[in-house]
Amino acid sequence: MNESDLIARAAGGDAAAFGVLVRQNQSPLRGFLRRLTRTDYALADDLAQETFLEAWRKLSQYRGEGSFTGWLTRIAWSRFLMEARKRKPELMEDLPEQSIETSPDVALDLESAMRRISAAERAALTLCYALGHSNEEAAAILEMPLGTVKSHILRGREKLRALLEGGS
Amino acid sequence: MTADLDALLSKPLASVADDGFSASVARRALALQERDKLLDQLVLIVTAAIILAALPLDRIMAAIETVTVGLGNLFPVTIAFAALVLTASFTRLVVDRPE
Repeated sequence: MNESDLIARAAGGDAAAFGVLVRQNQSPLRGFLRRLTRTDYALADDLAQETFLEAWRKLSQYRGEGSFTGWLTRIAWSRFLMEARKRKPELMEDLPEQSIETSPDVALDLESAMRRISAAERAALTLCYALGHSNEEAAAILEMPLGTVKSHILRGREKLRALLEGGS
Repeated sequence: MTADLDALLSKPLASVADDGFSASVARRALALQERDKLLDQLVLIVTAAIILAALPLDRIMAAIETVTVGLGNLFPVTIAFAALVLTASFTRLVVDRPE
């Protein structure tokens, strides 16, 4: 059964079809949320679960414009934003200098460096590179103007380059 | 360095093992569906109860009774009803007649 059949059946209340959709999409979605939450796995999984349940409730509203993965990721991003604004505002910003575990002249690996940049930069870079979305798709998912997404990507890349080369 | 960074960033995210996650979400989705159904039924029952409680049932029944008795006492209605009964009896007689 292909994805659109599964979506149609799940929208009609078929929980088994929905289970298959969750299985197919859980890995990239949880991976994305783990990056956003700075590898707080428990929080990422809670957000992933809420994302899927919201998708289950709103499945009849999915019109097939854009990919299903993109639609799910958009819900995940908005769930993450709500959580961060309510309880963990520090997730939105760059990590301050004093929270660096290594000295500024030591190069970091990509995941550690990713944890240091802002949420919007992490999201834009992850969507456009690791998850293979176009800039336009990323703008739709993040509900940001295209120019803003591009500048998040540019700024994020500059910060990562500095961090990976051992600067701060 | 730019090429290296691009390559690093383009590496797919590490695969996350399901470990019962999908099953747990599907279970919760099912429970949510059951709860929503139950809630819908409850809303229907409560609404019906409120409407019934608010309706002046005594007056409605009295009105129905008055209208029915009034209709029964009307000569044209009696004739029409009698014609209806006679037609039905005649039809039955024709249908049940042995060949």
